Formats: sequence, structure tokens, C-alpha cells
Amino acid sequence: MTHLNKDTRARWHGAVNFVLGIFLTAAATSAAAQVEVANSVAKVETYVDQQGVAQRRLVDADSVVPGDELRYTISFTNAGEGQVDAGSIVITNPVPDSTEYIDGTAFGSGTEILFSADQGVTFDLGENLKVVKQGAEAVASAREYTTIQWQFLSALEPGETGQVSFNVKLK
Amino acid sequence: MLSVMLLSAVLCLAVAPAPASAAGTSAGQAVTNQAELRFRLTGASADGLLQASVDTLVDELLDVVVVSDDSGPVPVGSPSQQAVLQYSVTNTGNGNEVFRLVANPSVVGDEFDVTNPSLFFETNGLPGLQTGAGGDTPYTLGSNDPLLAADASLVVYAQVDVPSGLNAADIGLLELRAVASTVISNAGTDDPDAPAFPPVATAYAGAGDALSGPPVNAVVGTTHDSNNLLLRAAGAVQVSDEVLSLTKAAVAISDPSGGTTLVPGSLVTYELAVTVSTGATASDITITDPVPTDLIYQPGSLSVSTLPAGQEIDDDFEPAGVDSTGFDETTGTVRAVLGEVIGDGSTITIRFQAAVR
Repeated sequence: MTHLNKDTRARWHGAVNFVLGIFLTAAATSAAAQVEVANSVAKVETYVDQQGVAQRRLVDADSVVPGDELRYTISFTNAGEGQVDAGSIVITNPVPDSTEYIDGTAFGSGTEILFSADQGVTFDLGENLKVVKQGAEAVASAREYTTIQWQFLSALEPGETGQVSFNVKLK
Repeated sequence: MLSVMLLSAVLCLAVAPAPASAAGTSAGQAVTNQAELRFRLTGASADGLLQASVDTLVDELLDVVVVSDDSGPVPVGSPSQQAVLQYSVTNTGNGNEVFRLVANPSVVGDEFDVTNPSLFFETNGLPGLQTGAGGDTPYTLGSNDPLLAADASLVVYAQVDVPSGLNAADIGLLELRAVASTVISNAGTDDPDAPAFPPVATAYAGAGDALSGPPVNAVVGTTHDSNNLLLRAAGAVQVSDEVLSLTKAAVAISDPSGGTTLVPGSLVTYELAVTVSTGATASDITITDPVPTDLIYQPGSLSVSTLPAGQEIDDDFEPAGVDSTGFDETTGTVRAVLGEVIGDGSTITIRFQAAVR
């Protein structure tokens, strides 16, 4: 794992942290630099415009307090020479500790989005997710989602990029 | 003739009702988002696996809520001294913060200003204000400003005097406010009405208290919204022309080793003073005083300086109608039936002892 910023105590101002090529088998190591992925964060700020209408905008997440809304964006690039198989790109992102997922905010062009309410053991469409509440099974609310998963449906040609995002509220 | 029925002498609120927990994620905590991406290069024999993470440090939120704990205006005479108002102060932010407390009698919306306000912290574990040895801690602005952890609450008493010559039903307000020391040191004022007082979302770089690790920013929270309504609250005293006055105080504390500290086994002597104004007559006076659950009434300790003819003090309340004064174990309440009292300016004193559990 190659952290560009290894100082975990440092403040990352909406920073992008790249991690390059970890492969499951040694055989694939030669393709280490084929795909790059980056994870960034921004704060969703509500403000009132000159017409007195409440608006939302993305700002640096350099000052974040409980109650704030954050957007995480994961972007990926085929930086190599070869093609990435259609349907093979799967991004899995646990909802961070101390935050809760905001319903309807997971987005990803050309992806199928599934959720998990059991730490990623099972994934399904949100409306099919069940949790047990007071002994009875109920449909999981968005706040109970523990993990989000995107499957990028197309092939990723060399030089192509894609990105997915979701919003959380800091508890 | 005035009839006073079942005048309750409850001067105790066990635990102040704290506002809902609002602190949230602690100041200085890093929130980490970690994504994992799997992919298969065309023709490869295995998936590739990548990870990427991003951290966000949580800043300190400066939030505080002050509420008045009194259920209504506290009845006082004019003049009177050392009337007690109760407030609670809760740090609804997410970090440790020192707060300055300011008592302000010059509030709009009342008929007079109370005088000589002095503040105390509830520190001895006994509900209500006790002053002196073994009592609650006097507050001196700037010398023992309280440090409150996130979500921590503090009961604050204000002792005030009431001027003479006021009319019945006149109200005097005392506003208590709590201001974060981080706000004061950065804005240069503790007055929420001053232009320099910061609006919501004002951020002070590096001024926040990270519970561990390097300092974070401090951010002024939403309790400072709406004219800083939540960080100040007014308690009230109201001039009463009731012919009957009642005060309650803990007059002595003695611990098992002969000192005046409050430890399990310490004996607290309470004194209730009942006075009927000269020339007035109060009938059917019954005084009830629930003993707090963290105290044990001491059998045989109840005394009443003047009881109506035929009344006795013991705890069996038999025979009914004659023996009505004592400690009612089923309700945990001290009861004294004083009947009709013709006011001559003298005071009827009710004393009892209770031990700390």
C-alpha cells in the first residue's frame, strides 16, 4: 500500500489520497499501475443566496463539526494500456464510523448500487434490506446502512475514468 | 381568615433535566472513509484490489444550554434576603470547555432588579443550596470558571436579595448566561448583545480542544442562533403578600468522624421556618416536605417548636385526627400539622435530621 500521505494525524483539507495497485496474486503484479483510485471529501454547505433562497454548495471539509453533511467521492481511472473487463469493477465503501448515510445520495453514472445493513455480509437494493427491530423484521432505514457497493457495468478502456459518490451526516 | 392547605416545602430538584444529548462525535476525532475497488484486467487470471482512504478531523463545537430549573417565580417578601434560584448549564458541544457564568439582574420585562446576586455550584450532592461548611461551592467569576466535558451538566444556584417597598406580584428577573471561554478569548466579550459577539459558524483556527492529539478549530454552534437564546435563561422572584412565609435550610452537617463533610452516614439537620404575618391568621396549615431519596430520615429526630394542643409527634399517625405530625414512611414525607396560627411575628421552627445513604 502506498499512502502518499502517511501521517495519519495530519489534517487533509478535502485531500485526495491515492493508493496504487494491490493485487491478490503475484501473477498480476505486473499490471500494478493499470488502475488508480482516489477518495476525496467535501462539506455540503447550506447558504442563503441573494434572493433569500436556501442553496447548497460543496466547500472544503477543513472545518467539520457534528451535524455537518459530507460528500465522499471515489474516482477511478484506467491508467494502463489494457482494458478492464465489463462488470468487473466493484467499489465497496463502509459508511464511516461516527456518520450515517443520507437516503438517496449514493450516485454513480453507469453503476448498479446496492446496500448492506450487516457490515457487508449481504448486499441488496435498499428496499429489500431487512433489519430486526424489537424482535420483528423491518425494512432497514438509510441510517442503518453499513456499507455501499457500486458495480460499474461497462468496460473501462485505457484513459477512461469513472466516479461514484455518497453523502453522510456527521453524528 | 386565610386558609393554607398543604403547603409543600419542596426546595429540592433531584437532578436537573438536561437537554437531549447533543454532543456527537468528539472534537479531535478523525473520521476515516475507506473505499475498496476490485477490477479484472481483460485476460488477467485474478482480480486487482485497490484501497483509498480519506480522513477528516472533527472540530470542536462550542455549544451550551442554560435553563431555569424553577417551576415558576419564587415567592419572596419585600424586602427579603438570600432567595434562591436554580439553573442548569449543559455543555452541548463535543469537547471539554470552560464556561464563564454571568448573573444579570438588568433584564427587560420585569418590575424590579434583584440585588447582590451570588452564584454557587451544586457540589455537595445534596439537592438545594447549602452554604457554609460542607455546603455548595461559591462561584467567583474568572477564578473557578467551571470546566464541563461534552454533555456534562452543572446545577447553578443564584442567591439574591429583594429591595423593600415593592408591590405584591412584582416580578424581578435574574438572567444567567454561560459563555465559552474560547468565545471570550477570541471575541473579546462575554456579552451576547455586543456587536463583537460571534454569529453561528464562526470558526477560530486552532482554538478548539481536541480530546487527544493536536488542537482543532473551534466552531460557534447553533445554540448561539436566535439572539443567543439558548445560552441564557432567566429565573424569577415574585413579591408575595402571603401572610405565611416558609423557608428551608440545611443548618448543620456532621459526618461520622466529627467533621462537616458529606459522606455516607453524615447527618444533615434541616430547619423549616414558618412565619405568619403580624395581625393575620392562617388556618389549617399543613407543611409537607418530601425527603430526597438519597437521604434516610432519622426516626425520632422531628421536632416542632409550637404544636396545636393535643397534637403529638411520632410516625404512626394514630389516632387519626389527633396524631398528624411525623414522618410518613410510605410517601417518604415529613408532615407537620400546625392548624390555625395567629400571627404575632414569631417563627415556628420544624427540625429534622436525615442521613446520607
